[in-house]
Amino acid sequence: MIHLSRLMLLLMCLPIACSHLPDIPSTPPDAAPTGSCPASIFPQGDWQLLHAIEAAGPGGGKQTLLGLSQISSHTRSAHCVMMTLEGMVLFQASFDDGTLSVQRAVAPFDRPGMAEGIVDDLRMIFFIPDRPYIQTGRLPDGTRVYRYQLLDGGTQDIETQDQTHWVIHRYDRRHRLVRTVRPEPDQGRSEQGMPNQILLEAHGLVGYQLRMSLVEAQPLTYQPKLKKG
Amino acid sequence: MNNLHKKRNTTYLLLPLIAVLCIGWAGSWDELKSTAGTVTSVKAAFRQEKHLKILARPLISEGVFYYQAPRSLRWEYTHPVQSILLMHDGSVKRYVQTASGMEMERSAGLDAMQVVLDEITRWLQGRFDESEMFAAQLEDAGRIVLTPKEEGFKAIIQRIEIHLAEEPGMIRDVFIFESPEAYTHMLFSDTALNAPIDASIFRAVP
Repeated sequence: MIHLSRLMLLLMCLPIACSHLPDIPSTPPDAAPTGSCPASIFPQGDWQLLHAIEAAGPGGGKQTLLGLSQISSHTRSAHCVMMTLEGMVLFQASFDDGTLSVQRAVAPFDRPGMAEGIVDDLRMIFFIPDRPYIQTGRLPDGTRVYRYQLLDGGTQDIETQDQTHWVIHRYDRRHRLVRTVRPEPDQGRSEQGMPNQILLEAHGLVGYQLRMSLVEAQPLTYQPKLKKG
Repeated sequence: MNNLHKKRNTTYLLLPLIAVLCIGWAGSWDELKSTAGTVTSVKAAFRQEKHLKILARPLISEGVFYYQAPRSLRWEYTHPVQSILLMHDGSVKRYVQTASGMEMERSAGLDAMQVVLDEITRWLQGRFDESEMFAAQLEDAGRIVLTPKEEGFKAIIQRIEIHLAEEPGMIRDVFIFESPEAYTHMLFSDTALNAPIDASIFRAVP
């Protein structure tokens, strides 16, 4: 049993342990990043992606699922399906222009807020924020950083060195780090130029980790099923 | 929701395994039970087609499975993601290919396998009509239709259709209908009945 004083100490230390929104150093004009945004790290066009998703929870348990995503950077819409390795559909949802529609959600995907959380993670992984960045510059190590203000009051930083070395940090309205997304550089990229493996980490007491290994990437030549009926 | 109910609701994760093990050929339940009783082992390759309304083409998975009476099973996917489910001596293990090789995985679905094993055993003996989870109907042309008994379960699986092959003891294919927009079609080939299977198949992962 944890002694009360230790628990208090732990709780006091937690905010210190959490990462916070860093300052972006002011950059001389000639050293400022060029280009409008780091859109090139996100899939461009319409794609169907199949990932093996290794999900690890706070208790250390792991489960691998298949994740099928049909995404369109043009319409910022997506359709996602989560299946067991045996092919049973656990979760199916689509979002289009900010509207979420859940077609199927069985345990454990039927928990309140779960669908919104999954879609939010997918949007973070596959789409650049839908508003212009509010600040840009270089971190002390030379990495370019683009900062976006999110609708919920949070902040998203996209830090890029090159096509294979980038990281997305998302902070809540209190400037605490809540999500990190990065490719695994040593896993390389697919023929289509997509990361073969992406790691998403949700931080906090009930954090989790999703390791998404790309199984298949197909360009979609049709659109209708991504749009509202 | 009590624990038994929870377990039943998680067993659907492994329904494709249950369905494929409904081996036998019959025009009646008694004939089915009689045929099923003669099968001691099965080995077959399978091709699994996942049909979803949003897909122009189905997702294809391939693999092989082994069964040895009374309660040993190896269900192995070789494509697109390699994974192996082993059931032997009352233990259930799942291995999945990761960047660092085949890794053993623990999940809540596997904890429910004792319930599944009981169901498998019952079905292997052709005792579909004694199933606690499904109502079974034997139809013409060697078709067995399994319908969940509980309404909650029907929301997950609408029905399973098993098409028996002409040869006694073999099945041709299985359909698992989840919704009007999603179903799984499993086709089997290279089926071998009652051939000896090395016990290590059910214990070891290469």
